[in-house]
Amino acid sequence: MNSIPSLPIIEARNLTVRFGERTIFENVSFTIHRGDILVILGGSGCGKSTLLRTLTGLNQPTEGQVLIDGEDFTAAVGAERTRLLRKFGILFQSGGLFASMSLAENIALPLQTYTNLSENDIETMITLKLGSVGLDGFQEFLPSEISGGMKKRAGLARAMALDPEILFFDEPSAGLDPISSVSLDNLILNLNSALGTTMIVVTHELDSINKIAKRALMLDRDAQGIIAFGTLDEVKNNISNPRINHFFNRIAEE
Amino acid sequence: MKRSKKHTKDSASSQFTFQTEGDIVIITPQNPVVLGSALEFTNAFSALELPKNCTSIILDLSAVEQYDSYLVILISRLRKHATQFSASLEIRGLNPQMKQFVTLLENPLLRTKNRAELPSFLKSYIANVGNVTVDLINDFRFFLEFLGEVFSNIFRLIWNPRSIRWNDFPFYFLRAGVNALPIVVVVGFLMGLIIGYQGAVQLHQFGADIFLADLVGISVTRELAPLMTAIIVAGRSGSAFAAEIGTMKVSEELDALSSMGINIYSFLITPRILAVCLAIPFLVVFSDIAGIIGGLITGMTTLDLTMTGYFTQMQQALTYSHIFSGLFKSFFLGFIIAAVGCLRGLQVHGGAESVGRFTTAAVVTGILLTIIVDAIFTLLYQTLGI
Repeated sequence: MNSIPSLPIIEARNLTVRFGERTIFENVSFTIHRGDILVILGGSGCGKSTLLRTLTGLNQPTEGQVLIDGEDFTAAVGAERTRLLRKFGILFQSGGLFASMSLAENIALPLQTYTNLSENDIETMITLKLGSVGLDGFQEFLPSEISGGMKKRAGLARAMALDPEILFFDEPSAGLDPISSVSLDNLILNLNSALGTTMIVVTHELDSINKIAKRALMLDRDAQGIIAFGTLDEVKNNISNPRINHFFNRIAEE
Repeated sequence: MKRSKKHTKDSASSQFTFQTEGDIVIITPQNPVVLGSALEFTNAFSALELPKNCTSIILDLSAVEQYDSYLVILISRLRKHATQFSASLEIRGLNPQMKQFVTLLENPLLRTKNRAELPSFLKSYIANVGNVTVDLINDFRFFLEFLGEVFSNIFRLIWNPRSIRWNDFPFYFLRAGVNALPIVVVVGFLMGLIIGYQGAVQLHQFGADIFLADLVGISVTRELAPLMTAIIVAGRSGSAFAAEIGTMKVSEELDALSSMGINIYSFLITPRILAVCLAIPFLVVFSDIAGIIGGLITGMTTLDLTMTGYFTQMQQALTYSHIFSGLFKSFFLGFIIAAVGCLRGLQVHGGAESVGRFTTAAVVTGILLTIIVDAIFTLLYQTLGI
């Protein structure tokens, strides 16, 4: 896991996002390497979720580019964009499961759309994916019939359906009890080491950050951009910056 | 991405090499084993024939460098084959990372080998009938509860007019009434026109041209205007109430209200029902006028009636009882539409899809009950001689 491959899997180049007059962040550049677990952190309103949406193409950046595997994702359209989209899966904050479909159908949808698997194989895949998030036996349940933590795990199973190289997590532990939250963290670590999946996690749960992060990227609302980027320890030990110090040591701003 | 390779008859050899040593079979898949090459593997598998006497299958993965979940599917397939032949399966050439990957994913497959059998058709049929019956009974009980709450709310208004929330009443009245006016007038006008044309042809044969005024006046005020208005209101307001209340239920707003000790019936439901009940007679008045004008236009264009003649005849034919029986009826139709809309909204459970389902149900039940109640009123008026 320590080998550093030459080509970054994701590269953000001078990303700027503005909504009307309001600048969310400016000139954000960073690279993420294969197999990494990057945590994007920062206080509320610093643009964490916007950055995630920009990286995944749900928002177009006002300026700048996102490169996936060295290819320009921001400018990609049509089949090119679909091809790049297949490289990643997203776990949405509240799961993003289709309410009218059972869990099995939710997972089957990308498989039916993008692979040639037979019905039998799709069923095996569903068992496999639900099993790997600890939800085997819930195939026929509707999203409304399971708890919030289970919805997240089911969302993760769907995000992993096509074995993406990159997984994005939007606040995975928000709204979860400590036990569910820890088990989700364990799951993230397990999947990362077993599958070698690159993970990008937006969160502000300190326990979760300490547990899973290999690298961290901190955004700040006033700086309108990155105030720290590096391995978790590098970021944490940079206590000369009051913002970072306050964040990690839970000190309220005056 | 891999372009799929050309599929040939001996594709078995293009996906894996296959070796038999006595009763041992060695299968060596080619790189890569990924979802993208699933079709080729499936074809290769169906072409694969294991010797009858095979006792052990060896899967050699040393050539595989690129893999994903499909590897686990491949293994699970071979496992099935192996059990079929009561042979053993051995996996060779797993590197540590691969091993971790396979173990993580394969566990659930191994665990769920014996799934519970599905119940027999008869059993599930009887269970289904039972479930539907229980649902119906519960629905009916809930309906009675709902009506009871609404009536007690309305009666409480007599002692205490401030017992319901009036703040939203003008808004609902505006939306259910004033905003529906254009479409109600257009539909009413066209109804009068249609009835007029249909009637004109028949009446003209008997030289009873002037009775067009009676026909249009009475049929529009007694039946058509109240009924068409009710159907329009069911489509506009009944569905809106179901969707609003349903969405509020899904997003826990109703729970929030209950937890604040606010009665949702006096806060949300009774104001809506009253607004529709009181707005609908006004709409019917406009619909009546539009329908009568529609009839007038037919009379003037096809039967050469004069405006004075038409209205003089109508003055004699159209009594207050015709007009007010329609208005009186429409009040009840409005009550039913709004009540059904709110009831369906309260029945929503689950998510967005459920809101859609119950909104449809609100309109369908609303229109159905409207027509049934309309029929009852017609019989009642007939018996009472109104």
